[in-house]
Amino acid sequence: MQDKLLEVTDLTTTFKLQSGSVVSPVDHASFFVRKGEVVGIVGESGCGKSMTATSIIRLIPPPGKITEGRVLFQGKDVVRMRSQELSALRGAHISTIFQDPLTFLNPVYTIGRQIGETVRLHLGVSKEEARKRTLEVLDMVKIPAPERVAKSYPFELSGGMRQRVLIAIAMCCNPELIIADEPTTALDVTVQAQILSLLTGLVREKNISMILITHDMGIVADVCDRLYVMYAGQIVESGTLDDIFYRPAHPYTKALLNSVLTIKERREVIASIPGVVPDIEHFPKDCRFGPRCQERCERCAGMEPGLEEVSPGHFAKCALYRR
Amino acid sequence: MERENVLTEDGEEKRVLIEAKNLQRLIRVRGRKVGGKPAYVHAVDGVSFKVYENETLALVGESGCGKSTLGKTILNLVPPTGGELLYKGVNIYGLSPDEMRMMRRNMQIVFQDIGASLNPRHTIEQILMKPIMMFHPELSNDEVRERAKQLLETVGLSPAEAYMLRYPHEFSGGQRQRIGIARAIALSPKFIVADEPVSALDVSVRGQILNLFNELKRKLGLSYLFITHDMSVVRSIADRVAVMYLGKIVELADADDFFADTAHPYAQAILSATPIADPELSRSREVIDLKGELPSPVNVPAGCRFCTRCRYATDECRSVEPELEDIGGGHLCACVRRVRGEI
Repeated sequence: MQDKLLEVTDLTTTFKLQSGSVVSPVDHASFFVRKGEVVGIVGESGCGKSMTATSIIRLIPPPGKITEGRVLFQGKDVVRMRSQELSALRGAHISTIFQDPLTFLNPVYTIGRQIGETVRLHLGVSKEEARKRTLEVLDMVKIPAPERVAKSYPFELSGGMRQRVLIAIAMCCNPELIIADEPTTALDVTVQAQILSLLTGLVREKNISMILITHDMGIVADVCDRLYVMYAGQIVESGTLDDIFYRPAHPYTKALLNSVLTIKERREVIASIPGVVPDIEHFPKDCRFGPRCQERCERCAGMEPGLEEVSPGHFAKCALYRR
Repeated sequence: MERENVLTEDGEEKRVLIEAKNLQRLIRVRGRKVGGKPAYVHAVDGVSFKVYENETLALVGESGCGKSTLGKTILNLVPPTGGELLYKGVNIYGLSPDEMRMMRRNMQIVFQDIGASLNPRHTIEQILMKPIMMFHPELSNDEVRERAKQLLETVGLSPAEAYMLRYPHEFSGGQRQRIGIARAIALSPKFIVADEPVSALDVSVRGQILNLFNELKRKLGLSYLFITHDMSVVRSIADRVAVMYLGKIVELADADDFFADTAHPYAQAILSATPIADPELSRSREVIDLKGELPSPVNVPAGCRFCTRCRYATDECRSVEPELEDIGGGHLCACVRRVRGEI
């Protein structure tokens, strides 16, 4: 389809461990993002959602490698790009927002210098123009007194302010795609709500596509158009927001939604998923959710389930839906 | 000493276990002055509440509000700068070091950062046997080991033999929290401060641990001060709720009353911003936008501490410091306008 900005097919990222075993935190992940769409990737810790994000822009920590698959961005395969093309891509076309702004921002440079540097590097403009753009983007992320903040160092700002600065850096080169990895996890709920509405407001207004990676089903319910659910390195379900929340198909998605706590009512017994996520070195050969699955049956035995289409555009990696 | 007990609706008597009276912990900031006087961080500033036997009081607030400091002050892990903490009527700050040590059997803590609170070089057996040996020198090694095994079974790590000789790093986050809980109940305490015990856990195991807290409360007759920032956790576990802002409690009520009629503008704001995992409800809700940033706990606002960010604030709010007052049925709220029914 023409309107796909990013199309990832069978992406597999592999690490060779010191013990000699080879593991794949991302295993044959396929997904796409349309122009102007906000797509969520949800899952619990260790499911591979962050590794998927870093694989898209090839920032995988060594010794990790992409061993299979394609990442087509505007028709070009990121996996085959040379380092020069890659640097042009990152920042200018695809930008990232991470959970912890303090590790992303350089503590010894002012905010203004860090934004200005990005602008000059990617847009090739003069110092004066870069300064203008810096103040413009700081104003865009609703930072009061942009002039003063531009002269501040990261430690002088609150957590919410720093996250606004990160959004400003992500926006400063007019990217086509923003990858936001747990952008509000470290923030208080009241600040989280502000940052989320700022971020989604901006991407909607400027028709930027966004991949939002989070463990929090409450956050994706607020902002996403479509969702991918990951478990143990694989995408196990995908569909529209309503598909996933109101018609979940995969037993893991159902169990996960069931264990989300609510402020609506007090439950005597709180639902949870029995057991633990399997160790990455010992993933089950058949269905990876199998050992914890409440709906396991004879159809599951022996083989890895394929992605089955439950309804148009709604897929689940579960043998229950095999025709 | 006389303790004030109350009757519940079913005519049962609720007995006070813990009472904080005007508890205060100010921390001196060296080299800084406010208005010519020494500067202090107002971490806990005049906090009073009771915890009854066999109940869970949830203490909720955002980062920097002083909730963790309050938890540690209650257990005398950090010294107070004022006020009293009564355990069954005895002020624990007046105890001698030896008496305090004995008192610790009754009052325990479970931490958020489970990894950091378990010695990585000790086996689970050593971790659990140590407190029992310290307080029960009359028991033989085998007897202590037997008790440690029972503890593991109690917190759902069964069969205990399979876990006793392992080290903390061999366990998942949820299992480690179970070990932390086992250690906390090792000396059969009556009261446990649980400081964000499920915040670092995945959604799918969070429920298991919350259920364990509820089960132990029932079985062992425990009381909890359950510190959390997450309103959905509060809803799942609390009998009563206390909301804290900048070192003070601003609302204190039975959980059902609190969620049915949240009174304080700050509590309303947190509740409105709590994510809802339902697209339609999520879209239709109204989020109350808090103005500005949390003021410095060193230079706290005059009058109501929340006045700088409150949408209802008037000049009165900026000059008169509100007290916790009953707005009906024991529902306490520190907001002059709410108490008068204006908002």
